[in-house]
Amino acid sequence: MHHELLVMLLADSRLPVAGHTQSGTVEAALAHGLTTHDVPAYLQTRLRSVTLVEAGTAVVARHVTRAGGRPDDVDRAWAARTPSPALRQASRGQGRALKHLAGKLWPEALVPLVGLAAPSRATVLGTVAGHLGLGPGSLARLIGYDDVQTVCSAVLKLAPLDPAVASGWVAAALPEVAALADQVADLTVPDRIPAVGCPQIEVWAEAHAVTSRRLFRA
Amino acid sequence: MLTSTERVGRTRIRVAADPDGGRCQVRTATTASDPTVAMLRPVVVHHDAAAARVSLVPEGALLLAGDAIEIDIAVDRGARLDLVEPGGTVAFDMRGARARWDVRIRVGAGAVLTWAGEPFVVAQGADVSRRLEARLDAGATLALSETLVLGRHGERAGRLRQSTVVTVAGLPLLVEDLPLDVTTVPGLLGGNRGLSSVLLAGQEVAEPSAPASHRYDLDAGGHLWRRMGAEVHESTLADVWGTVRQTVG
Repeated sequence: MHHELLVMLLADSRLPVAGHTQSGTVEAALAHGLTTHDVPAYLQTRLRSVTLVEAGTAVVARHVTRAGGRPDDVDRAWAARTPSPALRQASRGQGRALKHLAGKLWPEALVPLVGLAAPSRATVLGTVAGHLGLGPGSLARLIGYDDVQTVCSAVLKLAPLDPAVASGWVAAALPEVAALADQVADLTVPDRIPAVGCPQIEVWAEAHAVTSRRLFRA
Repeated sequence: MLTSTERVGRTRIRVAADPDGGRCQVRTATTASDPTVAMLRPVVVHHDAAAARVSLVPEGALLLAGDAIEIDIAVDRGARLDLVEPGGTVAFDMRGARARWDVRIRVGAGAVLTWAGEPFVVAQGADVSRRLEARLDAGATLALSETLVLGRHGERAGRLRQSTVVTVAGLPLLVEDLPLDVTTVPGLLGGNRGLSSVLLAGQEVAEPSAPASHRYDLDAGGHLWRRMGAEVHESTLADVWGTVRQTVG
């Protein structure tokens, strides 16, 4: 299968992996004072912290599983870099949805994940991408792009906004997505996965996990 | 700044239980790359069979451009060390140069290290790399309290690269980098100046006494409490530290 088409498939929000339940914590951010004006900066903060960790994790999971290894250490490295239980839970929920879909489309892709009770989305996506033959750069760009689209499409549901403005934010963030991919594409070992934390996003994610007034799960 | 122009002040503390049940053994050493180096002098303030209490007393002006503070702490199997600081630390304007503050911790099985850190203030113009690497054997306990302040009152944030690696039995428990400066503080800290944290590794606080707010239960066990505030007193975790100290015993 053509790799570019596979990347399109995996990046498509119509893929049934519960992407519509995610806001990239922007719902909580907007509830706690972030304005739509701040969204481009918020995207950049994510791409340089939590999303960088996620992309690095996926790239290393891809590398390890393609070499015939198991991604347990990779998933553990991700968990140690994700102190917020709410963020871990959100990622594991998405990991479960992606595993469910991949189990139907590419069952052999999941072999390295056997024995991991609740792998992160990054670990699952990296493993699946490796099975499909996607390169590390494509994988990292996919994660960065998906994060940006997740936030921007969530903002459209939460705040009155011209959709073209949100698309403009996505387009403007693309160089930052490319930079993220360059930073992680060559990683091969768990210890080298970036560990940039974002205490503010963690605070928002935890607050969101316990509120009943929400549109998005995370 | 070139490494060769660094002034290295190294502090080593090692605590071991006495095999005959007497007072625990406390060995301390300091090494300076030149006589004018600022460093932390370990002062034993209490010392019995169960534990040692050591105060890290600054000697000379801390923390200035070119300062390289290295602190190596080892608490051997079954021993206990309580570290305190007589006051906070200010990293001053370094006018384009840098300083570093590296802590290496090793805690053996059944051993306990508590460290009640005082505020670490990164003044406008300061540029500090601050690393913590803690390796715990299975059954070891580490309780660590710290407060970071980005800029003194009315100042902009200085630059701080805070790097933390905590492992238990060789497996990562908490790995985090916080590249903090005037450009990243709005996004990473919501524009707050103060960031307080209490880490408890190797033990868990029993419910319901565990303070729930600001608490992150780590995936591999233990807890991190973290609180941000526009002013330092708004981010205090003093009550949490009290609970953690009780838990550790």
